[in-house]
Amino acid sequence: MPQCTDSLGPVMVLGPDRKLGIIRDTTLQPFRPKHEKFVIPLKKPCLELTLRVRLYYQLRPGQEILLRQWEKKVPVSRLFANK
Amino acid sequence: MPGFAGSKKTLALGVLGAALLLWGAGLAWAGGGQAQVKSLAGLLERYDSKRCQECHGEIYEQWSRSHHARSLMGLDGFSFMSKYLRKGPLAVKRPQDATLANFPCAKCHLPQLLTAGDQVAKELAEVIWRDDKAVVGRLNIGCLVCHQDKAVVHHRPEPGVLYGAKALQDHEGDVKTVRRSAFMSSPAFCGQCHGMGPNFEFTPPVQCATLYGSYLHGYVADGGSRTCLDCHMSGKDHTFPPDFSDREGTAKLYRDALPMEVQALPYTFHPRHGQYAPQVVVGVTIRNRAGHRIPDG
Repeated sequence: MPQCTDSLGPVMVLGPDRKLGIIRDTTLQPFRPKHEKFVIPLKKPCLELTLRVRLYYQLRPGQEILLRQWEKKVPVSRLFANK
Repeated sequence: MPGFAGSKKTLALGVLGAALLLWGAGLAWAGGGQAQVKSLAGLLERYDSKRCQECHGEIYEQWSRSHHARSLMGLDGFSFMSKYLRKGPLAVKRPQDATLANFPCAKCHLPQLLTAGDQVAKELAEVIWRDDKAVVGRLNIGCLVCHQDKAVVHHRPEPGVLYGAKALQDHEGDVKTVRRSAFMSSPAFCGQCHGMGPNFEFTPPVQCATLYGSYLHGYVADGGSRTCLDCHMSGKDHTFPPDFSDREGTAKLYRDALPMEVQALPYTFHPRHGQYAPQVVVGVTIRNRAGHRIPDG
């Protein structure tokens, strides 16, 4: 989201009556795909992981609209062969 | 010399008369060339879109479902101005103390207010203070805001004229003349309200809408060529999606705009002799096909 201050200091503010300028912008921009990698370490041996990725749009805290849901079962037993 | 004194008096009267004429014309220019609105009831009456409904029923029905039709109401019927009038740099102790200076938000949320007087601002503050949503809900970005007040910028809107996609000579209803406004199909038309950042003309400045700025500097600058109307008014649809009250419709629009790919890589990292780190690396890529940042605001 675009994160704004009142341009009097570095603290983010809320509300159009206080915002002035943008100090940091983490939004999704046109023509600029966003890539993120999530590393999930496996501390204990297991047979299979169910991975779930959800993309949702938050209108305000507590009000989310689910946009996409991706799920995949991944066998991982072979990753522990050396233990 | 009596003759000279007489001509001086005539000149002074003439200058005064011209000044009064200019002042009156200035008032007339406000709000599409009509006299300045003096009351909230007058504002509601002048900008009531219901008079357009009889002939433009389908468009009226679409518009009535849009956020333009409830521009002073937030999500789920929330009256957002109530908070700003009570606390913060725009607050007043009593609604009777409010003036137009307490309503910079009106620049975009109710532009017709800024051509009215402080008395109208006081009445609006009272309505908001007592949470009268029946009245607040009738103040909106209606037909006349887009098709008259905001329709042209290269000259002032002509008195008694509407503007649209094409000219009409015999328009039915109160306004007989419709002129074509090429400006209305330009993204700059929407940009008048859907903003570029800080509004420095107000004290204190306010910042709400930045979408048009994002369109210009984040989309057009990188080679984008679609306009606002291409996505938000396809087929002259006056609902101007998204309608955030319609969660399903909003979800579909955002899904179309934000394709997502996910890849999962299970493997064991082996950084040094005897050390093994089983893990799964999940890579997510999201693209933005819209003509502006998402989210904005």
